[in-house]
Amino acid sequence: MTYRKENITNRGKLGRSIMSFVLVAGAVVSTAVDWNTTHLFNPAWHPHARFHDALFLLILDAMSLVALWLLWRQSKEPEIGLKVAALFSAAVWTPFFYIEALIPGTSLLAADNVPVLKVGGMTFAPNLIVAAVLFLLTIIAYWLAREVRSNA
Amino acid sequence: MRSFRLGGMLTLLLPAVAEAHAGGSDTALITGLMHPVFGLDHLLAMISVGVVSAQLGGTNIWRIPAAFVGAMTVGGALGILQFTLPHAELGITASALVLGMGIVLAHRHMSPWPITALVLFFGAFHGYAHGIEIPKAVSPALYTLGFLISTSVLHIFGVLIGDVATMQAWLWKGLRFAGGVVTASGVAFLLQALGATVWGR
Repeated sequence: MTYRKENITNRGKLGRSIMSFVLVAGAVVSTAVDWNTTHLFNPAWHPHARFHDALFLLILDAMSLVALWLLWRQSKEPEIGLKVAALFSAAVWTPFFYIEALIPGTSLLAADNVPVLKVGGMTFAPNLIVAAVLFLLTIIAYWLAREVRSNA
Repeated sequence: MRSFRLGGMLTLLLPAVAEAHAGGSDTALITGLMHPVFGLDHLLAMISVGVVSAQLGGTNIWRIPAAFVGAMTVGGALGILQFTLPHAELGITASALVLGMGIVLAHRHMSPWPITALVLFFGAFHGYAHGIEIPKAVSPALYTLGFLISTSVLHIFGVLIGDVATMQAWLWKGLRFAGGVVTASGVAFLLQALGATVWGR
């Protein structure tokens, strides 16, 4: 019933589990959102644009598997796998924050009727929210898993 | 064995292949993702599941949220198929009350099974509520995937809250107090739901 000073959770495993969730959820959500007529099979899209979307999805799915393997494999240097998984996740989700500014003519929204979140007069694209949540979880997961190593 | 595992992981990562050319819209997934977040009773209950699982510690950290998500999947399917689950709203509001009490009382050395049973019970109600409110003309698979992922994220935030609370005595006490607040909110939600469903007001 009372507070105990010792950790009741294995933070390293918790961090790696959260990182795994981010990798799997990110790959599943991206594939599910794009694998339909709003994106990959959109007849209005140029075939080469669709090719690039398919390329992104397949690279994302494959790299997520590689990152999962690096994260959980037996290794003398487990922190390398953790860093690669975290950097890969960050590399996937951070471009959502600057692509529109970096490349004129691009949009976060696939269509005008995509539901958006409006808070205090500001509009947030749903994929931006997903990216923000998954990026935040990546940082937390890395911090948790890294903390164990520094305590060891 | 390894190729079997790899095949399983690929299957996990590519569920949307089944949706290929189905003409689905990302609106389905987005609506599913947002659905659990915009109901305070849902939100508190789902975060509480994570907090309680962290308080119990060990493998309960993933077992209890997994039980909730599993029960939600079943409940969601019942809702999407338009089965009738009487007084589902009462079940949801009661979950906030009970899980709030769980935060007040849970500790490492208690048996996880009573909470697991409650989580299974209430998870079905939450899933049913999401399923029954599925918007017309959206893909049920994508909508379900959306609310399951969203729920998992809320569980993770709950686990993190519970884990951080173990760092300092005052945080641990604060967590117990927060559990009391969630319980009180659950009482308010329950009274409101009773007014609406039982007394017809």
